[in-house]
Amino acid sequence: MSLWQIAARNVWRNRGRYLAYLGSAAFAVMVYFIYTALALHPDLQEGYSGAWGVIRGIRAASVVIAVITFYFLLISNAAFVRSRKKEFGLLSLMGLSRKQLMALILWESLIIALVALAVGLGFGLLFLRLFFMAISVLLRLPESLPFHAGPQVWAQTLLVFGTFFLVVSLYSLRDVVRSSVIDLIRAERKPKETPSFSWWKALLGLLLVGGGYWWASSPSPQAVLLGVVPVTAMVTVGTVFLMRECGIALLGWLRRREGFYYRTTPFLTVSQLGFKIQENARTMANTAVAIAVILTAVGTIYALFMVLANDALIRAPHAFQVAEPAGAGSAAGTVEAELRRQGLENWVRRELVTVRGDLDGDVSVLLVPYSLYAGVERVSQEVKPLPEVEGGALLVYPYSLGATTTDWSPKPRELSVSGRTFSLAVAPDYGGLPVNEIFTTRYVLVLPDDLFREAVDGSAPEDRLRVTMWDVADWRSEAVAEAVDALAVRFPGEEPEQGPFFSSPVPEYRETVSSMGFALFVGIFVSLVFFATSCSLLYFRLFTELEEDRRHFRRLQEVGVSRGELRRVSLSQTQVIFFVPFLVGLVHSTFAMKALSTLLQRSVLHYGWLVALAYLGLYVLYYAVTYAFYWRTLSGGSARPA
Amino acid sequence: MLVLEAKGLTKVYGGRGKVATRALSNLSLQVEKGEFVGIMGPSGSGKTTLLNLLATIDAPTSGAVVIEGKEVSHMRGEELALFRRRRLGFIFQDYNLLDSLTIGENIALPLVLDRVPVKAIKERLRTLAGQLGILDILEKYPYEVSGGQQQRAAAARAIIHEPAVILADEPTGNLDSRSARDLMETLVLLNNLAGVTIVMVTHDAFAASFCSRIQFIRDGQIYTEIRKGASREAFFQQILDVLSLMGGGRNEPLANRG
Repeated sequence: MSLWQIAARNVWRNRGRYLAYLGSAAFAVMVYFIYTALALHPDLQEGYSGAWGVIRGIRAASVVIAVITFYFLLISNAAFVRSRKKEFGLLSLMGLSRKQLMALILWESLIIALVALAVGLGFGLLFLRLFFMAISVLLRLPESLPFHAGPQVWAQTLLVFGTFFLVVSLYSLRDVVRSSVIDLIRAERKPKETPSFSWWKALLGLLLVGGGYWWASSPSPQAVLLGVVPVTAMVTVGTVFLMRECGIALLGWLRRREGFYYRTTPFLTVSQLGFKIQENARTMANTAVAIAVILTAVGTIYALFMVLANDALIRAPHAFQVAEPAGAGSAAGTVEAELRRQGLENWVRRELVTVRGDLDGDVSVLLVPYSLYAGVERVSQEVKPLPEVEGGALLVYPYSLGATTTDWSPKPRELSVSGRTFSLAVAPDYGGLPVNEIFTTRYVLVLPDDLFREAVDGSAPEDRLRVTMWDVADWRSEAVAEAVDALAVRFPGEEPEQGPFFSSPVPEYRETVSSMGFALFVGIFVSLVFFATSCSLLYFRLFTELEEDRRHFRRLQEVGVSRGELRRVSLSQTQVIFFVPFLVGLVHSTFAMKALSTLLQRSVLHYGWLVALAYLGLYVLYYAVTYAFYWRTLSGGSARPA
Repeated sequence: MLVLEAKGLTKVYGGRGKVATRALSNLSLQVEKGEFVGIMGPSGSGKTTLLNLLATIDAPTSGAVVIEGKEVSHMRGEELALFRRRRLGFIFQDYNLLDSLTIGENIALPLVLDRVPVKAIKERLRTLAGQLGILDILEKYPYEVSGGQQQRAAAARAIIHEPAVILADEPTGNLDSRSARDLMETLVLLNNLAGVTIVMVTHDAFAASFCSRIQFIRDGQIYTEIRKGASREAFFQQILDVLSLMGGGRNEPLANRG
């Protein structure tokens, strides 16, 4: 039997353990292949107008995937080789030379690498067309991207992953070659360390995580922005400490609660978990942080997507609006004809004759009476009262992002309209404009109705504007979009003085959706790779300890523990090891989303929860599959009935 | 009173196209309450097979094992697991203590499995550990104590739930002679003190000399039986004689198991 055959058999016999490793590696190869194919697509290289930044985004994503994969391969392969040291030791003992041992390990790695590449590239090829179609829809390309996977795509994928696999197997080889035969043979039998609790580590972990949370929940956006990097580092390090110490402390506490502890399932579960957590705390902490990163990243993109799409309404609350010189004939008839043509009915129409003014000579504002301000629907439901002072007015800003103002008191300002000046006391309002922006006039000044009338009546007639607004039930509908497109062609005018100026939230909304939607798409893909690899690390740990667990369970069976009891014990143990990291990651990401809420000045927590829920579904599925494998291997094998 | 009875046990391994091996053929054995019975025989004689059948971790091809009047050789699943942990105690060659439990917890395990109240568990544990002289290692983990101490803990675990019979499989196999002597004295103590019934498979003539009766097995059948007289030393000599008569025995390597 040649070495190659031994290697092939080894891989086959260890397939349960190799499976997660292989699956994740193949998945990464597939994603990398698809992204490279997209990045090198000739049609995109020439550049569609809508695809700016796309290539760069995809390249960045594929680099991230490559880095994650490399890290994952390194860790899991090292752990894998370690779990088989005894086998290598025995082979050495039987007279296998160092050279032959190295060859054996390299052959094994080669087999794994080839299978991973073949499976990954195969599935990549299979899903490439689907992916191109999805991307084309997202980028609103006029037609679907043609299928393309040139030699460069293949070469690049093979080169990158070939190098990875080679480096990884050389790295794990080093570990084996450096150890003496006796070390190899005894690797498995090293006595375990008794779980011990360290006060200072627990305190340090608590301080780091608590401090990070405290910083992230600071109400000041500047502090939050400043804290992104240090808080991430603090929480990451803190999690490693806390996971281990808290786990051990908690289990110790359970152990002392004798009424609870001295029953079959807790007795066996808790005692063994102490050791398991001691050994796996780092992996669990890493997984928790990875999950926190994934949930936060996807949650952030999703929240921004929702928030920014909504932001179109801050500057343009009305689905349709036309502004034109008050003296000229109205374009309202044309607009309504178009609306009817698109089948839109039951709109609410408002009309306002107003004038523009200057605030302190530098800010162009549109005057709006308080009655209109209070009557229209804005982004914010809040209707502020006018400052209760002489000349009290509200200045509505065309944005709410980064509004850091804590000072809401009215300030004295001068308003000039057609050469007349008014002394006002102006308070800020970030709740969204009551009227769409009109060209360069981006701010709205809300005046008491009588003062408004006085200002308009006293202005030069040629300065007056007639603003007509239409609101419909669902401004995101296809019919509205059609009408907006038609009206935008009809009224291309830029300055309201020269003719009707048309505005709508739809164009901005559409642009946000297409660019953010793309980011969301790429983000989800990258995070899936991240998710798959970090989950497989847990799977991997589980299977590294499988032999030991099997011995443990066999002993329990011999003492008379039934299969049902064993199943309960193994279920509760694996559930702790899998779901504690998810829970911790969820708490971390909740604080991150809270920080994001501070930055965006509105709560985005519910978006974070929604994303977490979706990932939890995936995670449960992953756990179920892993556990099924684990239990099958754990309970099978020995013929002894129990 | 009979505690354990093996009736016409036959065990055939293999079959269905493979070469069948007959490990036991029509073997019968009776153990009275309070007896300390040794089972000896050369490698391949079927000792371990017999013990596995008595221990209910293997089922006979034909014949029956009756413990306390119950036929156990055809129990299945839960029922068998329950019976095994309530009525049987085990001592294995490699101790079989669980690494994740302290010595005290290991000993208490059978009681925990049986949902005995904590207070009763603790009380029983202290009394027993006191008798066996292992009170000071109860908080330690198995890998922190010597093989002899581990085996004494295993003996304590085997008896704590007051089983009908303790089955010991080469209990001195991994021990040095000093620890082996300690363990055997412990077993005799338990045998005398609590009147517990013990069935022990062993290679070791010295260990066997602590028994009250020895069954010799060869080729899957009872070869002969001897009983202890007044002195252990004389009994030891008697055992050696039988072994040399049977072939194998004294010079047989300890690591070989039948």
